[in-house]
Amino acid sequence: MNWLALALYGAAAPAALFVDITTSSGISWHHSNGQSPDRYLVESTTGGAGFLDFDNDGLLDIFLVNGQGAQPVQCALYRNLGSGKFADVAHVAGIAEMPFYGMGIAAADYDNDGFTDFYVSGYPAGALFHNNGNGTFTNVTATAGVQNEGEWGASAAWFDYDRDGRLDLFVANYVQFSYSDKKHCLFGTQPTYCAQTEYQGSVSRLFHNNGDGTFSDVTASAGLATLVGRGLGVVAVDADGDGWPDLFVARDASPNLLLLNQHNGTFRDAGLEKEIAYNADGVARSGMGVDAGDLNGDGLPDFVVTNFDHEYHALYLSNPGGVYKEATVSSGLARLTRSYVGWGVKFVDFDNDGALDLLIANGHLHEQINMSNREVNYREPILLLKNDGTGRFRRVEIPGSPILGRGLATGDFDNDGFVDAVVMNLNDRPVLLHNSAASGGQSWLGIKLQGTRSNRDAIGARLTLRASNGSTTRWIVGGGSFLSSNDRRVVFGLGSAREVGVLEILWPDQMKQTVSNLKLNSYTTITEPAGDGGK
Amino acid sequence: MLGYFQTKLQLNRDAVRSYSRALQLDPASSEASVGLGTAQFSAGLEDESIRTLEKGLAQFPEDATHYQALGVVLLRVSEAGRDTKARARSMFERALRIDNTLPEAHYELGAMALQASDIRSAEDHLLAAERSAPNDRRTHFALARMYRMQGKPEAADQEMKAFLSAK
Repeated sequence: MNWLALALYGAAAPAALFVDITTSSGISWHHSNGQSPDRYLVESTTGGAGFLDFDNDGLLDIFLVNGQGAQPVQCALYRNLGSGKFADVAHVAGIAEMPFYGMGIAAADYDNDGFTDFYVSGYPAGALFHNNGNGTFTNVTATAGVQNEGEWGASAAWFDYDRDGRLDLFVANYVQFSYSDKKHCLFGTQPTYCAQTEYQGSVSRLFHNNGDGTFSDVTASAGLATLVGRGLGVVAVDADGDGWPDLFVARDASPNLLLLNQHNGTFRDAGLEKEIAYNADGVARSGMGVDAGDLNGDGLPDFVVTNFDHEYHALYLSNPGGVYKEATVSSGLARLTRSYVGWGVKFVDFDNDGALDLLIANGHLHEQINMSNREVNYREPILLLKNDGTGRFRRVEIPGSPILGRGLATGDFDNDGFVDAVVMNLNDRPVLLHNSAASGGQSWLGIKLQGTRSNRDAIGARLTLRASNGSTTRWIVGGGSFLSSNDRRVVFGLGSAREVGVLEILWPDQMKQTVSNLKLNSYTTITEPAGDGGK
Repeated sequence: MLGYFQTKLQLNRDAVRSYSRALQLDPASSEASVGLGTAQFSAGLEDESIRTLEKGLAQFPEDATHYQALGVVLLRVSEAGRDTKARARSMFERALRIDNTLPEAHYELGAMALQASDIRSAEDHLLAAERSAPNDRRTHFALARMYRMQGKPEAADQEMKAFLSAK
């Protein structure tokens, strides 16, 4: 670059990494929470989004979960038409209406037939939709036995906890709620949502996939029935590196759970001993969303949890054999998030420089909150926090007005290798953010895994990219974020690198595979080889 | 009293007005001064809060609760990125020189020491906090963490039981 070019480059305003393309994309659907004068708590937390390729055309589509309204409301399934355009096909697909108050979505190919199915959580039930492979879905909830009857289901995660090659379902249940049990709370003189502590917590549910289209509720036998609390977010990942998928459950004013897989169909909560259950003052924060990613480069997942304003969104760094180190203050997250109520959250390397960044949906519950604290507002910004490569974050502005953020899903809908996002906005249109960093010229490697003995979506796989300057570990996690479902593909940001290293894949059944000669700046599909795996 | 209840109800800006009025009516009330500084912080008025408490310190130089309240504000502000942690520590230490039984000051110094893995100092302060306020859940939680760090699982379990049973 010559001096003139350098001067011009330096003088130019930095281009925004994300551009709001909601209007031009054709997405006009509105979310509705049916806000009532009684301010039912269920109205305050709804709104999930999912990226899924339901028609296998290679383009990610978008499913948007609605709450409820005075008139019947509908969910949306936006089919990706290419060129940044979407069209709602929910009616044709047979999934526009939910017979309950909708919350979130968890998409996965639970029957390994090659088509992505999905579960919708809600109150007072949930629903499982089987993809018929012809653009339509069938509600198979009753046959499958995953109604979650009477519960307020929040985030859900598909994962194969017993490594039998079939995806099981975990549903984080929130509180014991009923429309008939009216609670009236005021903020000053105005009606507002009562605190979550006015409601008893629930038991989250684990459904084992029997492989014949049915599921068994194994909550009790898995050791989860006594873990009563207000579950909202969940991510499934091998937290301790023993080859078995574990669960991190973010709970609201209940201690977070770290459910370690005991390899025999049961789980043990290690949240307290690993110091992720409470903050340093012994306070159970308002955990909403959660995600996992290797921020400190030790090959084990670290966790981010979104919380209420002035609790800070929390960052827990792994420490093999020891307790997690809370890096909320040292990473800058405390400073950057203290005024916000956080919900959806994802670790993604949005600019493909090799370091995981954070995208966080925020939005308050109380319309009058600014009467209490000058620094806190009802509508809040979507936060893009860029990692400087050492685990410290700084905020990068996203153009647009503050919103009432809830669910947040990430996915590369235009297959350019730079991950995009959709953020739910309570009682409003969602925000579709196109990642425009591709023009920056950073290199990347995209991987799509297809299991054969393992579950077809390869949820639970660990991918390690080894290069001359170090290694990078990523996982195909179950769940993650809040009420939302994300692109299963893994994108490694390679910065200015012009060569790909060697990719080591640890499949969910523990078979190891090494792949080299991968093509830069494109997606490669890798199918699990035949063999007896790690069994 | 009105300001106290407004703070409890998170009507922080109303509490600021009530404490300001109380201080106008009785400028010699150290309680109203501390209440105003605390309410200002909760209302997002950080700089005003620090100024109020510093002014109170000048007016009530022997009032330990002013030092303690300013220490808490400076500590919270430091978490949000300002370089006030050392001064917060100094405020807690000065509060304890006036009144060595203040549980909040002992707890905060103990928690800061624990964070810095200074186990000896943490133990001194946390045990002092426990003596002054035996039912404070935070202290039991911090002591449990400290005993785990020391490799004393039985003592940690005992403190954790106290933490879980305390309201």
